[in-house]
Amino acid sequence: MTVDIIGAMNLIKRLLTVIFFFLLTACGGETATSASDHGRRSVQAVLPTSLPPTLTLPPPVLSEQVVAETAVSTIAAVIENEVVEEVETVAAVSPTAVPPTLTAEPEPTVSLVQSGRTEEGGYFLGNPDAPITFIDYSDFM
Amino acid sequence: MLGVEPEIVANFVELGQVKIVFWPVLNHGNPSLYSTLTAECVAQQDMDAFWDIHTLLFENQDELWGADRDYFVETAVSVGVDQTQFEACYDGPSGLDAVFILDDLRRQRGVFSQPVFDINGNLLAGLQSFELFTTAFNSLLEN
Repeated sequence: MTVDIIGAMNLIKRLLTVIFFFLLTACGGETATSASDHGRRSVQAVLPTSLPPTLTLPPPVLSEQVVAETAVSTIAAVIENEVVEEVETVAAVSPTAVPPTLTAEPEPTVSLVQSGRTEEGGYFLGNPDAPITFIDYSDFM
Repeated sequence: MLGVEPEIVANFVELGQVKIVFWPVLNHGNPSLYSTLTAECVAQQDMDAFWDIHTLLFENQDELWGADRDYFVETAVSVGVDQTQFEACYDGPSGLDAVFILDDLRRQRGVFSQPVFDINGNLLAGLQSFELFTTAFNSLLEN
């Protein structure tokens, strides 16, 4: 009888141990999960998923010199790129093209010198309305 | 004239200040007549060519004394006029009539020698320097 009682008690101990460990494994996962969720929920409380419409993030504050240097370097880079692109385009279109030069167009000239005959038959050369009439009475000989 | 005429053309005619009128004078017989006839027949075709032959005839005055018809025909053709049309004028009455009319008019104006210059009604007889003409032109232009 004593042996049976002791065996039964040992059996009962084993069963309780098994049950105890079973309970431990079931409750430990839940406990860990709860802890991380709590932490995540805490972080989410600090950083909301969407900003209110009236709230805008301020721009990063840079010194004036840094801003100027950045702008200049940026603009220079853009211009250089554009120039390079333009040169390449021109070269591709007309590799032997000569840049046009501005030349002033020549003004049309009206000659004042005419030749004809006077009313009396003389042979004239010059502006018919010239203020001075110079008659040359000459012999070819 | 020719003489200082190129200077007058360059300094006054081309500026529109002076108009030159050539009026032929027949004072040396047939050489004068046929030289003037040649110039007239050229003028009837082309007035620009007239001033070309005007220059040629004055530059070759020495040759005109013994020049014949062929000489004048060749000279006319050299300034670009049509030979057939020129010969018709040279050999016909129209050219000579025109030449004589001009000669009569200069006599009516009292011009009997040459060269004689009329500058807006002021007469100058004999060859003159370019400076004198310049003075006369400038005086008239200023007034």
